[in-house]
Amino acid sequence: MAMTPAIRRVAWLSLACLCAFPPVAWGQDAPRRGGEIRVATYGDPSTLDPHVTTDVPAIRVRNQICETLITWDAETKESPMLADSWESSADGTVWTFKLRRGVKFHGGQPLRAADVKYSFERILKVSPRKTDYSMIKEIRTPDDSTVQFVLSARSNAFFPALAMYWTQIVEASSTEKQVRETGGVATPNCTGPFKVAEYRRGQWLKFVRHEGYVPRPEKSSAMAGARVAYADGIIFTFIQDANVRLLSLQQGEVHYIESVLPEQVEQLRKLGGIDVVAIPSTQWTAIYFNFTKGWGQKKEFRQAMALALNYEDLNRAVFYGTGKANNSMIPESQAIWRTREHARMHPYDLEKAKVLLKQIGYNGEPIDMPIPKETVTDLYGQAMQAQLAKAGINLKISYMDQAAQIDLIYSRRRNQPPPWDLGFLARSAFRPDPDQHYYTRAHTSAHVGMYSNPVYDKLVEEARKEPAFEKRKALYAQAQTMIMDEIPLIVIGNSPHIEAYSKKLRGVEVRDPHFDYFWNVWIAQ
Amino acid sequence: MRRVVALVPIWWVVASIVFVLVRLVPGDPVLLIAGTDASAEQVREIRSSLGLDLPVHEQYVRWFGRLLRGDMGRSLFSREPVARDLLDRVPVSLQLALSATFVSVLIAIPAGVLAAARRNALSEAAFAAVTMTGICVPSFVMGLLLMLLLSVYAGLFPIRGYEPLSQGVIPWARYMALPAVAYGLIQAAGVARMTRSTLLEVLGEDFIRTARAKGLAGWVVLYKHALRNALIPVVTLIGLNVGVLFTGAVVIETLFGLPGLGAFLVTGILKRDYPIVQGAILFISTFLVLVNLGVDLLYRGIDPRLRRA
Repeated sequence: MAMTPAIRRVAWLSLACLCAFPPVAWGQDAPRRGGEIRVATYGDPSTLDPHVTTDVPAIRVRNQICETLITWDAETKESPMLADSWESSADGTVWTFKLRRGVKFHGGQPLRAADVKYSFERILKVSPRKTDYSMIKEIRTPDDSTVQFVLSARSNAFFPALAMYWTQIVEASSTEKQVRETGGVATPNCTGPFKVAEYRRGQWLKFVRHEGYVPRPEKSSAMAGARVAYADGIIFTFIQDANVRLLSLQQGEVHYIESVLPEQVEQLRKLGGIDVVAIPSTQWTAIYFNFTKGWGQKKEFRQAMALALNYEDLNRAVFYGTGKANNSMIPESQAIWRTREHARMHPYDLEKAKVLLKQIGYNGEPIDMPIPKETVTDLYGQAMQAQLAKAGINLKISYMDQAAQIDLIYSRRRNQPPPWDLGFLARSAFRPDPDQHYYTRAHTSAHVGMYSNPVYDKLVEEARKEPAFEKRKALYAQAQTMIMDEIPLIVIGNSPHIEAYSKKLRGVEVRDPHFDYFWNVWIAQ
Repeated sequence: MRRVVALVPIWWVVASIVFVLVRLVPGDPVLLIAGTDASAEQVREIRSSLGLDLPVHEQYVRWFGRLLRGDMGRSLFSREPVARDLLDRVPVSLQLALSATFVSVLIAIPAGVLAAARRNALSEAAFAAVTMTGICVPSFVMGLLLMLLLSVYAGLFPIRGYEPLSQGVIPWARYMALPAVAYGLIQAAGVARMTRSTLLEVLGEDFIRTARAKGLAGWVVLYKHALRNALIPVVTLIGLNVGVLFTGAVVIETLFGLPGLGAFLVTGILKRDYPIVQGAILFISTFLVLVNLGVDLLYRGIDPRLRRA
């Protein structure tokens, strides 16, 4: 379409104005090197040794300094990190990884295949998750940039397990020296974009830029792709109290606070100069039924429970609506594994629940549910109690600390039958492969309430062995259908992940308690 | 010296009781380490690698043997030596306890003396109101109030954190002032009430009447004769307070981000980190015995009759 002279004049004038007076944001939004990002975290990492701990505070800080062979992109798809490429043999028992060239450890040493071999051999020796890697029969290093994992049998669990945080690669000789001299790894010599500068246990931890770091060439996508350390460093300060974290952000003592309480979100949104992001996390809450005694053995009772709970209301009552009502073990953020079956919810139908309870002759007998005494779990307990009471279910809550509650819920690991009626799981951990949910939570060998269904077992065993992605996906959709119909457990929903930060911080992407990172983040002037 | 030697059986008894008690409490550290999705095989592996699959008496012999060699073991979670963590944290708790005690004594003794010496309806009511408030207000409320007023609004102190004394007295004091005042004010209320009541009791004694009859000045009677006699229970209370302040500052330590012993011990208990709980309680019990010893020695300084006894 031809422009009239008048329109052309206006266009030229506008362009001239823009050049003469550029919007302020133009200058500010360009990534800028320098400054220290100050982050308030809720917990001191138990250790910086990548191989001996699985706790979230440790993972969150360690992700900034250590890297794995492969990692996850924004769709939770496995992507290259220290490994550039990989291939598996036709029978799936030999996996060959080509390492990225030019990678340097914080100590200046080049990454070699021997470091990968050392790291995995150490994992197999000291990691609490070492049995996840028990399929590894041998690790070969044909040359300095090639690593071969020989497995005892094909395993779908192997490849995704290489992206887990506890498989971060450390330099062999300096790590071995630290272990020999101090019995542990206080300063991991890894390859990440930041490195440890100083650590005052219980107070703060300072990282500085790893100057020898060369970002990957791919575009950044969640944990995958280019990682650029714009900031000179990151200082993690440990502030356990959520209110004090908030005050510290308000006062400008820190740029970023993690684990904001749901009730603080509105207050923060009213403050100027602060962004707050509240998204559903990958962690879900669930209740297990006991199949060795009591009402949980009756399918009608389990169905009535599922119908009597209003999941949206629970999300509102516990998380002020910042979480996500969800009856599937696969959260929405793990989109590649989700099917229509995973989006299906138990309907809220109080009348039907009452009919089912009447059918089995339930007359308000107490249903025991031990829960850990924490603010969130307490709210969950009270809200569920009120909802179930409407259907006539008499939920009795017993409070204890988390360690005692977990001990009670997982009594079958001590070869004792579960003593409770309902087993409350406060939060699951992020697991990338559905096997780590559907098998490890509901298979006969694993369900904490001793649920056993040979049909379900066969389904998840088949899915564990099936090499084709689409077929596995279909099998897990079937497993989800069975979980919804049989109800060995009810997934209630996903807790929120809420973080807040100064508007001075640019490039922040809030994703998950396990995925927060401060590369590609800069401090605007 | 005899008192110090008497510490040895106390140590042994405390160590043994703690060892048994932490294992009797429901809760399994292995399940916390393994995570809720761990398999039975993983749980078994971890238990075995930590030596927790051995019979309790064997665990006890191993642990006690190491303790006698000065090795308190390593945390089950961080695998760091417990002794090193304790050495890092004890000075912080000690500094907080002593600073808070200093604040409480500085306020409580003059306030208690004043309340006992100048008795009238108004001052008694005011004293009762202030001290009861001090006793009733929880330490985290006092801490948050001070934080809001003096840090957030007035900007006089940092909100939280800790600087060791090695970085200089002024930076140290800037971080320590608010927790010490918050904690000290609460302790001051009890000490002030105790000072007032014991002083009133002593002021009614015959020897005070005699002293007054001798024509001694009022302040001499009050400070030289009455207060000195009234101090014994007050010193006992302060001594007990130091112990409580040293070990029970969890809330204040958490609120102000002080890397002290209280928060460390509570985290250890919540995680069932046996070596940390055992090590910390052993250390605390030793400290308390030593404080009691110190208080006994102070009695002798205050009351010469005890020296002769």
